[in-house]
Amino acid sequence: MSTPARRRLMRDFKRLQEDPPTGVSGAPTDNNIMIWNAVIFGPHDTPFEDGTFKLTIEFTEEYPNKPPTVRFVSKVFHPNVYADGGICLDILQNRWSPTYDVSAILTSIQSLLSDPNPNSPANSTAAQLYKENRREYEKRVKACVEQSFID
Amino acid sequence: MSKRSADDATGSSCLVAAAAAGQPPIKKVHFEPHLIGPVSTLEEMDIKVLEFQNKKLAQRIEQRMRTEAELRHRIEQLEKRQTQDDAVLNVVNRYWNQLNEDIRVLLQRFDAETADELENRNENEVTTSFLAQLSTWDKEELDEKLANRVQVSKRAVAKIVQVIDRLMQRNEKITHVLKGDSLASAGSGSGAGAGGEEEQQQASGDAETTTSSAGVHALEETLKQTHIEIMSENHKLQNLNTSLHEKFHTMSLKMKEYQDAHTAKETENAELKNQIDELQYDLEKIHCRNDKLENHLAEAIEKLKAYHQIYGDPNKSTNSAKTPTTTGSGGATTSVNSQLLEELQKELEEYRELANNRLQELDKLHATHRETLKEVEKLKMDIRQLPESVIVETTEYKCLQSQFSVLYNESMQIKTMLDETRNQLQTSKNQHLRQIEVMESEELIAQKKVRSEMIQMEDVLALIRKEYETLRIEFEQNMAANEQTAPINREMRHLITSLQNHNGQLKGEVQRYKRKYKDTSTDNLKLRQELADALATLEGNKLQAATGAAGEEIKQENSTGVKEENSNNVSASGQTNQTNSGNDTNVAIKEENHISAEDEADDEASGKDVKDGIKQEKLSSGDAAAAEKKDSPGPGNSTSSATNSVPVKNEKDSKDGVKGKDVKAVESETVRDLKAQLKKALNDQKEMKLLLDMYKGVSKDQRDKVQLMATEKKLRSEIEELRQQLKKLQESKREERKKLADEEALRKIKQLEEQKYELQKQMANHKPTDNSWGSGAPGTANYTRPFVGSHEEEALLNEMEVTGQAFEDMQEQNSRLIQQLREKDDANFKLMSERIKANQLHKLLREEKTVLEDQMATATTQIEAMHIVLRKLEEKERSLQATVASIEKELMLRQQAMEMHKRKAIESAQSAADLKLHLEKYHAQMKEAQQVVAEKTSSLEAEAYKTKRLQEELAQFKRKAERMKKMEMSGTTIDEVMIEEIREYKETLTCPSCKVKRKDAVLSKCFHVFCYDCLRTRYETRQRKCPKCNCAFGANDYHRLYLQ
Repeated sequence: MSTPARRRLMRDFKRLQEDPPTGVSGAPTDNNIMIWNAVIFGPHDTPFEDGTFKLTIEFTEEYPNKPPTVRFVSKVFHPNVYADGGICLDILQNRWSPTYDVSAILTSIQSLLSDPNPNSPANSTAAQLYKENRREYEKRVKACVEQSFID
Repeated sequence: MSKRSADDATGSSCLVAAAAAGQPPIKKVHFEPHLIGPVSTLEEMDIKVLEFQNKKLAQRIEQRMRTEAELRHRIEQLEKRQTQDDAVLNVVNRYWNQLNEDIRVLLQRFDAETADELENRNENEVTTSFLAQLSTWDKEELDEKLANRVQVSKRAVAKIVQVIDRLMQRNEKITHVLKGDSLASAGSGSGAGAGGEEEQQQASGDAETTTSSAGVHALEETLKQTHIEIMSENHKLQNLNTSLHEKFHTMSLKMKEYQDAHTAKETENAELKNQIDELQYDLEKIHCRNDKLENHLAEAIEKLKAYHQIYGDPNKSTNSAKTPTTTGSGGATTSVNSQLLEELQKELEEYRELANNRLQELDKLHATHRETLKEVEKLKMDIRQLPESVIVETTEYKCLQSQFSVLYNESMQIKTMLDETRNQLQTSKNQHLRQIEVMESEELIAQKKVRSEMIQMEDVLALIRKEYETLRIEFEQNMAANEQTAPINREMRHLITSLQNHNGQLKGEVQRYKRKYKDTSTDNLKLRQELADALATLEGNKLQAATGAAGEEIKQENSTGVKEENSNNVSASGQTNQTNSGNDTNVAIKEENHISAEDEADDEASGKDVKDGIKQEKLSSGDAAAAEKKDSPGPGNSTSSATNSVPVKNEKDSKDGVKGKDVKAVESETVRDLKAQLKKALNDQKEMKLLLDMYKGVSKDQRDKVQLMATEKKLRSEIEELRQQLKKLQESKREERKKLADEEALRKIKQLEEQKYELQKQMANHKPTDNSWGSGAPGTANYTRPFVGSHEEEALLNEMEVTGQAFEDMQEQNSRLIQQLREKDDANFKLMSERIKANQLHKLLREEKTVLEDQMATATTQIEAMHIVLRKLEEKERSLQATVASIEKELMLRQQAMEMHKRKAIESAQSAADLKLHLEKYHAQMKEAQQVVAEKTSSLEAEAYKTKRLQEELAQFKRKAERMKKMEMSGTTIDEVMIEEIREYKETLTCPSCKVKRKDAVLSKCFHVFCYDCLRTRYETRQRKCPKCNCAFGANDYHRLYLQ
């Protein structure tokens, strides 16, 4: 329980409690601090508005020197989210820095929802619709937002 | 990267902030509950999420409700409208039905067909349940049915119209009839048509009765008039038609225009529809937002109310963000803050004023900049329009002129060079042509040479072939001959081998005889020794006689000695014949008769003995024929001797005879053998001769073979001769030995005789005459006797020699034949070798031929290639000539252009000189202007820098103000502020990487500060980059930092 990773996670959790960022929230599972559940509310003025998207964050003992694996549990129709929920985000892969904490990760995912990058698509149909038929894209996203209520 | 994320984070927050700014406080109010409630457990989080979702769902339900209400409202409106429409429809239907009814009635009144009634009935049925049916029908059905109905009604109307027409006609008829009744006297009818004619007929009928002639005239006139009228009407109608056509055209054109317009309108309509869709979408969005905002507003109002209820004072409590001015107006508790705020505001105003001033300055500077730019442009324009004289005067222009002249000279030089090169080209072309001709001639010569060589080679080849053919024929002939001679040769060889074997056998026999001879010689030696012993005894006796000196005794003794000697001789030698014994006996008889005679007889006997022995030996060893001749009388001698010996027969003599007979038997056997051999040899010889004759009868080759055979035979005979010679030699040896022995014996005998002679002399003292006679006679007898045998021998020898010579000749012939054969073989070999050589030569020649053919082919190909090259070269030449021509033309053009350009250049040089002067002036002006501009820009930059700094300061102050506001907002004590500050400082002191430990190490590359452990782990795990700025660092780039 006293490994640097765990200490750091405790600190992250404390910070998250003290200074919770807008529209995101997360907490470790009851029995394992290395696995977290998180929630991102869809950002305003985007088709994701009103959506509540659940995620799991799995940390390793190498954290914060290695990034955690973040995955959407809810179904999300987004150009940078794979079908299995995996997220194509640079800071979660090769651009990771130990200065990031859980709130930073969650806020950056939230910003990714509002500003997708269709040039490196993980969901090609979503990227195509985002580029070519924004109205259809928004319709699909709204459907997925409504799906998030049911989950 | 970290910055990027930070930017993202801040961006998102900024976005939120902007959104908040756009729709100010509501959203903040909305989001704050989520923010404030920090999540400690998952359940809590879930609860919050569910709350949020619940809220959102509630909002949505409200929205839906609202939309439902709206829709209901619309439905009501629509229902109302529908009722109105139904009423209208009913009215229309009623009227329609009435119309139908009326029509029916009318038709019935006019006695129309009964078919219409059915339709009308149907219609009636339809009309009764019209509305109900309308509701049941679909749109398309409705259209169809209504169309049916309309058609039915139309038909009915058409029928009514027909009926009305008929009525009208009837009416007209009636009127005409009425008129006819009234105007019967008048006669002339104005009407036209069928009815008119009837009337006219009626009228004419009437007229015939009343007036006959005048009526006809009138009728004609009326016809003419009507004709004229009809014509005029026709004209009118035609005009009308044309006008109508024109109208139709114009109408169609208009129609097309309208159609085009219609399509355009349709597209517009579609676009507008799209726009409408979009607008509807936007409207929906806006509606949604509006709903949300309303929700937020409602919540805010509720909260405000709650706040009011809690705090009571509305003025103080509404200090959130809506109206900061209200707080300033009546804030008693937050007076200090308000004062500060006022101060800050004042400062802000000051800064604003400053900023305005700066902006004004900047504007001024901009204006000046623009003015200068305009000036510059003007100057540029001026430069473009410089006069020529100015340019001409300038040094640069002069330089250009000089350069131009230089270039012109150069161009002239180049032109001359071009002429030269052209000449060179022509000369080279001529040379090339000559070379080509030379090459062609050489080629032809070479071809001829090659052909002649080829012909020669072919001739040589033919000759060689012929030679080869002849050689081959010869060789074949030789081969055939060889094949024929081969079996004969084989036979010959076989014969030779058999003969050689025979020879070997004969040699073996010779050796056997040699051995026998040796044995006999040894026996001879033994006998000699015995003889010597006997002589010794004899000497002893003589000595005794000498001493004794008794003549008779001596005689007796001598006789006995002689006898003994003879007997000894006979017995020892074993070769002595019966003749010896006979002689002995004779001698003995003679001795008995006369001593001297006895001596002589003795001597004779001894000589005879010796001779006989020699003869016998000779016969036994050597010539078989001689031996035969001598041996054949052998038994005769023996008989004679036997007869001789009959009278005086001693026991010794008899014994000696027996012994001699034994020896004789042995010798006779050997002699027989020899005879048989000789016979065989003779037979062989005969056979050979026969064979020779046979072979002589056969072909030359066979003869040769025969000759060879003969030579072989000769050789054999030679061998035999040689053997015989050898035997002879051996015999001669023996003879010599015997002679030697005999001589010795004779010598001894002589000595003895001499002794005897001496003794006899001594005796002669008594009898001198006997001794002298006796001594001389036997010696001659001794030496004459053997001559008879020697003659025979010589004859035999001569024969042998002859045969030997013949044999030698044969051998020579044989050798010659062998040599011939060898020569022939050699010749054969030579021919073979020649043939091989010829073959080789043939092959070589063939190869040479092929090589030459190849060479020919290559030469021809080369010639072809050369031809091709020649053509190509010619083509090239042509092309080059063409190019030369074109280049010449170009040159001409260029020259012309050059002249043109020269003129232009002179003109332009003049203008350039003018312009340059202007340009210099303007350059000076430009420089001044640029300097001014630079000064101004530098001052402007300085000002901008100042403004930037001021802006930064302003931002800092703003932040301070925000913090103060926060403090005011939270309405907390200083402790909390301090705690907040402490928290911030702590955060700044903790390592940003692990966020657990204190900062105690620095990266000397980028001077970011972390904890030492983090940096070490990063270094050890090979992630050697700064967590903040991603700057790479090494082992010596992170150091401890001692903040305390």
